[in-house]
Amino acid sequence: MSKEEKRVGVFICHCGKNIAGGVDINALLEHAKKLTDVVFAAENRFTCSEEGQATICDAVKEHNLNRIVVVACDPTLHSATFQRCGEKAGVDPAFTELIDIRKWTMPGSPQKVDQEQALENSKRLMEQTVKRIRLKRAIPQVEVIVEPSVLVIGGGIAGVEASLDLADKGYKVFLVERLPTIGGKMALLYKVFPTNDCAPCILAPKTAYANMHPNITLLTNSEVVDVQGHVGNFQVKVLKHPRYVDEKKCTGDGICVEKCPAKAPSEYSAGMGKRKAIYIPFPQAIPRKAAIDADHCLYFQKGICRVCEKVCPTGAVNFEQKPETMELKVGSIIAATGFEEYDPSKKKEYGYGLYPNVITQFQLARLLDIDGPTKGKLLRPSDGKEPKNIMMIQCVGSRDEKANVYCSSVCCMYALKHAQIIKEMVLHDAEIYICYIDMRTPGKGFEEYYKQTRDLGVTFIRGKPNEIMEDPKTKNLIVVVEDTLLGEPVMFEADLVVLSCAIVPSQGMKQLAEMLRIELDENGFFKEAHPKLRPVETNVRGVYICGCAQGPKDIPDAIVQAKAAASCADSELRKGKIMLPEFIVKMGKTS
Amino acid sequence: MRRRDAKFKDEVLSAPGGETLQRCYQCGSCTGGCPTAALTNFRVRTIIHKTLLGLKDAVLSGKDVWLCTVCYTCQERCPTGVDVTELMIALRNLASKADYAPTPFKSVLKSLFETGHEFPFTGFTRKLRVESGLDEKPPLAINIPEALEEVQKLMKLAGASRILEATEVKK
Amino acid sequence: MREYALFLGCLIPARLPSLEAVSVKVLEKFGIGTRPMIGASCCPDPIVMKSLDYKAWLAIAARNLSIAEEMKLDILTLCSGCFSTLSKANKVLKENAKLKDEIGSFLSEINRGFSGTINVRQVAEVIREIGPEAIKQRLQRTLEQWRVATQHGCHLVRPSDVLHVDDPNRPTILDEIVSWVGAKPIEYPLKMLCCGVGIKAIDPETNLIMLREKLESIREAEANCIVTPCPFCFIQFDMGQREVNRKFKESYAFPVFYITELLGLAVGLSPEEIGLQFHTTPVKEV
Repeated sequence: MSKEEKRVGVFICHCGKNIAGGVDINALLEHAKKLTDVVFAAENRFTCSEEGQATICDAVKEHNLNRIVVVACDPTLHSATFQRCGEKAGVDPAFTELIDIRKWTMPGSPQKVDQEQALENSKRLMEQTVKRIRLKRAIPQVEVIVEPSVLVIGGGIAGVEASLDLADKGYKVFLVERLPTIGGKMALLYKVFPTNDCAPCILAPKTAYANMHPNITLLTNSEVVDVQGHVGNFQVKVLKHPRYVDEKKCTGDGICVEKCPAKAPSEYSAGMGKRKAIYIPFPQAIPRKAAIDADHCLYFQKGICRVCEKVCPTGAVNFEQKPETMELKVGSIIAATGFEEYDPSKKKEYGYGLYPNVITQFQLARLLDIDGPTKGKLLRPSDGKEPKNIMMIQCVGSRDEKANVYCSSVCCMYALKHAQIIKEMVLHDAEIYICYIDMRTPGKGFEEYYKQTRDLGVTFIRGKPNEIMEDPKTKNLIVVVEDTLLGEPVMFEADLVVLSCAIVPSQGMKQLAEMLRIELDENGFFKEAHPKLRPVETNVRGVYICGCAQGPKDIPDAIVQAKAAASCADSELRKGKIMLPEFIVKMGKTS
Repeated sequence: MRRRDAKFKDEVLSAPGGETLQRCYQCGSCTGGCPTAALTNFRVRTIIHKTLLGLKDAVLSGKDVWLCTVCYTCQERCPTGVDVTELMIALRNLASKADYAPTPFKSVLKSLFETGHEFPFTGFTRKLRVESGLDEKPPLAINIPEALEEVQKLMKLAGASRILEATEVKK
Repeated sequence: MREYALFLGCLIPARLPSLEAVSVKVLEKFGIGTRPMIGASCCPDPIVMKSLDYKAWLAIAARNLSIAEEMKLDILTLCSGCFSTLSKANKVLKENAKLKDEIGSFLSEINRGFSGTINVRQVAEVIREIGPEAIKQRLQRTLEQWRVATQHGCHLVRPSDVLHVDDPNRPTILDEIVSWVGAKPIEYPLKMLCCGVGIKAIDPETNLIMLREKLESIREAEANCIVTPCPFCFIQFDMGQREVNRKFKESYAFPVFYITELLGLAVGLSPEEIGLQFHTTPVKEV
């Protein structure tokens, strides 16, 4: 044939009663037959079923169809199904389209309309689609050789796990981390539930291997500043901030840290301790290299000192270090940027920031850590005494219309963990109260963990405290909470109050999302392509998300998502080449 | 065994102030900060729960709904967005329609209807005003008959005046 | 000269007229003019009337708002209760189309209408706007001997989505004004506790216990007077102290100042000019 004759087949789906119950299928069918170039039209109860698909294939062969319009449900659900089916019978996927009329007919659909309106809408949509499919030309697909490398943004447990998986599969991995060390929040947890394993101990094998793996390039103290290109060929600019220490020469012996005279608040002690201006973040830090905090360094601020330079045996200190921009070419990107703890000073009624003995669970974790600011002794901030009555308050900033509406998933468990640590290891006689709205302990081993905690003598009060007041003399906290199971307000005097705060998206996610051209959900976490079926993919092919960057979750779930994201990247890149629409490659932008 | 009125919840939901009733997840934050709860058996949270269950008689006929001081602490702190105080007021409106308004409150309404003000302007008032260097009779509704008529007309249109004819509150 | 439509309410003109007089006097000194709202009635109050019949409450409030709309002036209230009612009514009528129509039909029967063209201000807000410099310039009396327990009251700052005056949990508006006039604001744990006047008629005993807790907290913090922008809190403390003393065999004697009384003292008005002699708890110079 010179000019190819267009032969369109229209397949109208009943979807059981979902569509058939809300629109006149017969009328729609008759209308389809009248449209230009439609040579075949049929209805089917469930077009996506094997039987339904077979109908399409048979019709294509029998009637020489070269264009397929399926009138049914949301294209994101079954476009691929019908395109594959059409392809099997010889129709270019570009000429198979699925259109959604089910949104107008299905009970419960927010866009449902009455039968007449549904028929009108469906007729119009069908006409437009048939016209389009007649007029469109297939976009030429070109073969692109992919870069066999992956950029992983974020060096927490999710980022590290994804990097290791991909590196083991043979890909080159660039692991970019904003802080001077990898390990993320997990390194600061002291212990993890429900095993009560030492967190840095179980983390270290992974981070150590990531540091040594021949396929992984660790870029710490670095940030992604630009992303161009498309799946298979992303061009990424990474800005490496100077740490003023030559990583190749630094042995991590810590002499500089000992001799440095300048102090700064320590992020790794959650504001409860100090570190030096030149510092190694924590003993198990990887890479174990010093870094200088220019904001607190006496040389950068006042032009004096430079003691670290003098005492370093390998001459690793380099005040002249400049920021470096690196350009990377990668085939795929995984965003694993983690989370932050909600700042409860916004909840003024709890007095965080005003009352010294109101702290957060992350701060408590640092206090309990034997490598933390108090070497594992639980000493309360106002007077350094060991508390006898500790109250934990759940859902601070979570399940809250004025803060974050979602449940942060892990706080019930980590409150139980800290209660266990305190009772078993630190202060056996302390009275611990946990004020909760619901105890959410669904994971494997979690219900048993809850029982263990009750057996240790921790008291649970079902009720959310309305406010916390401070006794100005003793700095004890007065908490009035309604015990809803009792139906009575009860007053507690606690020496220490610990707030279980929400998990919120980390700083800079919005800018990173813009660079990657992925979306954020309504709570500011990266948005997955489909919440049920595609939790680690995004709207951009080749860009994947995992860990808390996608939503609050615990470590096992973060690892599962990391491995899933690595698998997705592998699926894209393993053949060494992919087919992409020509215009994308020409434009050099992501689809 | 309590008797339920399945329509009670809908009555409350459609009253001004009652729209957010269903959001409650019974955390008790409201009762925790309530000044009256600390000193009596008044429990805001329980009243909401009873309302959701449809225990109309218990809620409307009881003394409890009238023990709210309308301080708005509960509403301000509710994490799930229930307008708790407005809800208490909506319940009071329903109780008032069912003739459960307390006598002291009804006297206030009576004064409003008869003078346009909830506090009486007495001879003592005039004396105090003069001593303070003010006009004896300020240009308010109590001293301007047309204004008072307007207020009374509004009260009649809204149906408030029937409360004056209702029976005493049942303790 | 900034002008407001002065909404008096009921309690002040009927029982505490000296507060009306001193407020007008003091505001004038700072260039704030007030015009009477002719024919205004009770706001009506946000506790009793709102509970008995919401629509009547809304209609009468709308009528008061319409008087100010005719004057084309924002309302200045001297009472937090009036502030709460008029602010909420203003907001509800602006946002709820159904209620706006219904109340609008009531109002048209008395040849009035609601347009939503004015705002409602509380006197404490307006004083805050005067600012520290303007106040300090006019200071004529030293007040540093006064250690003030501020009683913001419930209806000045809550609910915060209606009244955008200050932080609802830890407001500082009164403490700021107190420090601007040279007195010392004192923190005390039960600062934001309700004065209890809402249940005074229903459960007078609980009301007195609540009041006593507040007074005890103020005493422990070693304050020597109380300042409030609401006449209901004013009456609770000024007269209520006597009842608390009688019932609990206590001897509380904190002088209570309404916010413009304090400002009046600061700018040199004499106690008689202010009307301190009308207080129940005597105001003795410290």
